[in-house]
Amino acid sequence: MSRSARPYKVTGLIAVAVVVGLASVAVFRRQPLASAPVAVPSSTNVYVPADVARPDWVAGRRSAQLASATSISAPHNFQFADGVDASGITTRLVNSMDLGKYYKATHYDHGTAVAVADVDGDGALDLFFVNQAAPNALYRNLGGGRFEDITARAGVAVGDRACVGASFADIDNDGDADLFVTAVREGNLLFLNDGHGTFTNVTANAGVGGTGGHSSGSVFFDYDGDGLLDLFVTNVGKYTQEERYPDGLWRSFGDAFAGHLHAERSEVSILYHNVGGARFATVTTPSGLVHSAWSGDATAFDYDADGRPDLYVPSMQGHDELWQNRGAGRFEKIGRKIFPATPWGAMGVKVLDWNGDGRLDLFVTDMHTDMATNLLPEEEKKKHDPATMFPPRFLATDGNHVLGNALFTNRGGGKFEELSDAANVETGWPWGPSAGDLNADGWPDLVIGAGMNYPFRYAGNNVLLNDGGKRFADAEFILGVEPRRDVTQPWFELDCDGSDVMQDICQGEIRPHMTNDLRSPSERGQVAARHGHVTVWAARASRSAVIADFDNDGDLDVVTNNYGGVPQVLMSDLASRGPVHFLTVQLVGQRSNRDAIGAVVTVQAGGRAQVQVNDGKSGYLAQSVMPLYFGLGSATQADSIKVTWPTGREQVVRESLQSGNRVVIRE
Amino acid sequence: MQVATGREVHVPIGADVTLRLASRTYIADFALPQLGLRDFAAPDLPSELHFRADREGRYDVRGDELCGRPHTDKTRGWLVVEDAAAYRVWMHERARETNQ
Repeated sequence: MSRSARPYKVTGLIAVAVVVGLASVAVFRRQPLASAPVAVPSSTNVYVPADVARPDWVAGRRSAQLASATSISAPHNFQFADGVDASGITTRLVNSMDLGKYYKATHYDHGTAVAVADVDGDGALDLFFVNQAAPNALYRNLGGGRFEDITARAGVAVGDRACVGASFADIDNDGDADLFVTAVREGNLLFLNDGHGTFTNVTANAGVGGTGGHSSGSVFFDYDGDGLLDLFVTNVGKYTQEERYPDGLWRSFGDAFAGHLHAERSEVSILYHNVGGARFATVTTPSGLVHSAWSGDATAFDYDADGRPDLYVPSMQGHDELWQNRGAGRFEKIGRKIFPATPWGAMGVKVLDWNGDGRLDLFVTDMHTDMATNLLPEEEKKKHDPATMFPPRFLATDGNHVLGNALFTNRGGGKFEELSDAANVETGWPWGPSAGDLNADGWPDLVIGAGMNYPFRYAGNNVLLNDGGKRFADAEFILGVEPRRDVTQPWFELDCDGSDVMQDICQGEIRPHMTNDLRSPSERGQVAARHGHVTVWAARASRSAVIADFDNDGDLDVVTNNYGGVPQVLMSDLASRGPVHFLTVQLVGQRSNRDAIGAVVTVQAGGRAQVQVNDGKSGYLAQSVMPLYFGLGSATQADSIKVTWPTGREQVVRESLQSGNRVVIRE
Repeated sequence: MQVATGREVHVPIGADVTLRLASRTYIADFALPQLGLRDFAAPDLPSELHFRADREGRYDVRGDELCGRPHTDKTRGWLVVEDAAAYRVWMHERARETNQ
């Protein structure tokens, strides 16, 4: 290949026809190049966009947040440190080529799960990382922040399809964590655990392979109270074409995010009824729960506290939905009645009692609204300006939306008040929310996997410390979660003198641009053509995060799953700084499902009550099996633990509630 | 008369104007912020914007992919509202160039 200059390529455009008095038509078209880019010697072999490599806003935000620490009442004198290098965790999340070399805005960008369970029954919480264009990885917890890769012997690598979500749950009530994995088009998978961390693929016999849809998050819950966990699987919608890339993944539509405007691209999510014997029956239609919105995750949520688990399903391109469990296996759509205004672009959801009133609230992250314009760092804490929101025709709703994250605060009687701004939980580019008492003060804090990768700027994850149930305080910099060690990473490779010669970056583009960009190359900032081997870099970002005590030291740690790189294993040093008062509560159902999914636990300690629902939800696209963690603040023991089992029966424990205990409560 | 133009289009003042938007590949955002107009086009999803420009001027036209990606603030195109005589001159010039 010669090093001569190359003409600019045109592969698409927006056409604007102007009709004036029905007589004349003018058509915009791309201006021909005045001259082709000038070739330069091979010196541009690393490509790092300036605003990715040098996020100038980070230092300023860090300074401001550190200065604000004096106004935070919640304990914040502790730090997280990324222990991935010492952890033994080496899995890398490989993304679709649609997110790199052949970039387009697509739902592949929505991430993959990280889920937690003690898969081998040794008492330590193990980690399952879902991958997109590479095999999944299961890591056994060795203790002390160390893990070993047991993927191969566990039999859960998959690797022949783009996986998305992962849910651990004991689907056959035999006392171990089974695993359900969702995938894009190639079918979902159910693995039965033998109790020692070896899994068997029982998908076909179980009848949960799905419909070949673009599956995403899945939720186990016992909707009919028969003691067997049923399963709801979200199908996003058809965002891929009938063509594969060399890596085997399906190529996305260029207009994937207009999918909700194409009825033929909608996919119905699936409700399965567990009929026992590790078999499921599809009951989507007879249940009435026919959900065809563009949804990627869901959570069980007994919004009216009637003992029957309802289902809240965020929509990433439209209104969220609430499906009320009417009993007898029937669901009714009541979202607009209970939540007339929801986010338009919701991704994740978490149920928690954030203000300590004993009622369960709902935190919803809204990602897609942040894509209506180029989100600037200083705009991340603000709701989106209605004037620059997507055009109504694109929203395709009644337009009654919360333009960002929502914190639906339960006022009782099926009434909710949206308090996201008052509580300071608006964030930028949020994906998966997790809740956990990071400082063990008795109030649930929030961790949000956030940010975008190529070709966007850097944006960090969020940690929101609950300040006594009154508001949340921004704390990711205070606690050492941000900035992460490196804010950029190599993203993809180009052979600019070979097969990639026509790629935009080889052509000299400063930043990737869309083919409908009408600016001239000089206006776009195009430089000389690039030659040789080019490594394209991008910002680091997370999608999902899970909170648990991975080193069993009494404080909560955080693990993230990140596109294009290794996870973060953020170990807390809270316990090393002084005594931490806490309890963990492990529930064992008897008449209820064995995981006691759906149980509500109330811990009375230090003169107040804390309420948590045992829903397994931590993070995004994932469901985990792990004990509930209750920080006790200054109290050295709890007074009582009340469990409201999924059967409705209440059970109170008043013994062995000293701080540090793992309280196992059998139904 | 049908003409082709680059990043600038002219319309006569006071005329009823229809903008027809189309995109072959991506979701294209289109905005004339000074006139309060914004819509999008996507493959198989064309659209029309109707307006009457009552004031002469040169208005910014902004177009980008509808996905929030970073871009410069440079103007992407212009809509020029002018009197009928100037508009006719512009159209004839564009027609001559189009037919060359």
